[in-house]
Amino acid sequence: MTEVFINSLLFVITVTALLSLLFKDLYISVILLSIFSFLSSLLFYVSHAPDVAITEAAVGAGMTTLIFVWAVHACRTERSPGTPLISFSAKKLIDLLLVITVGFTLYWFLPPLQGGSDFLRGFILENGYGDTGASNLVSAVYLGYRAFDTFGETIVLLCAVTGSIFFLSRAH
Amino acid sequence: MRTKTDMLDVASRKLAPYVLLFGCYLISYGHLSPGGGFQGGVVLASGLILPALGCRKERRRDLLSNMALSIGETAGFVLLFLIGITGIVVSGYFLADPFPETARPHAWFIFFLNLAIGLKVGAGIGLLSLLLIRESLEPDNG
Repeated sequence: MTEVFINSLLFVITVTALLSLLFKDLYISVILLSIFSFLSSLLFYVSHAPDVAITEAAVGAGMTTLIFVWAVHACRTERSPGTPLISFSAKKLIDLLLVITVGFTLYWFLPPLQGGSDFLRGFILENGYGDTGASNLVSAVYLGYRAFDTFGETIVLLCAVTGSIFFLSRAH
Repeated sequence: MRTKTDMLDVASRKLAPYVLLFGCYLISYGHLSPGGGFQGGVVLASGLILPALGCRKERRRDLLSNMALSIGETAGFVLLFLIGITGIVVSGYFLADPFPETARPHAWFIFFLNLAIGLKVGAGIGLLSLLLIRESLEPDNG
């Protein structure tokens, strides 16, 4: 049952991704990408990764859509009435074939990613709660064992926000 | 052409407090259930942006001129830095758990880090998006 659900979800995700490439109107593409992110978050949730699902829903379906819509709005060129809604050129066909080739190569020749580092996983499962006190082991890793990485990440975010504020307020 | 209906206005203003509440929940229970500072912060930011996007023109001005977010972002970073310094003072190295071994099951350290990161991410992304919205809505008022 879950297998069928995941497979059909993957199929719909692929279809939305393809459609977002084909549409000429960028607003439609952005909304399709938002649907893509939402379905991906559903997929993560079904695959027992609720942390990633929340992030994907909040960032992918929410924030990214807002920023994309703003960007399309900022450099909007009016579509003349004669142009078709969906365009399909030879260049797009080559890109599509390239992506399909890469995808199938990865699918056939890459070993499945199950397993990972058994030692690390066992260590975190065994000691994570005792070392940090967090029963959510994702938190235990990124705020306990890897707190310094998280600190660096917030510095990156601070720089990004500061730079954007500088350029946006200069335009006024 | 660009008109806002009362339905959009009311829905966005009534929905925003619940989104903010969900963000607070994600941050404060990040050590026990799925969620955490980053996710909760982004949800907080979307709760801030929702009324700014949905509400009518005459109400928008108060929402967009929000200097408190700028202070909140800096405060989040300073809080994070202070927690790190406390680690140096108490336990000997940067960002070490300053609480004693007996306090571990309550995960106070993770809780405070989540709080600081949530404040910083929520204020930062909210500020960025509000600036973007203001930029595109009022291009000639500056």
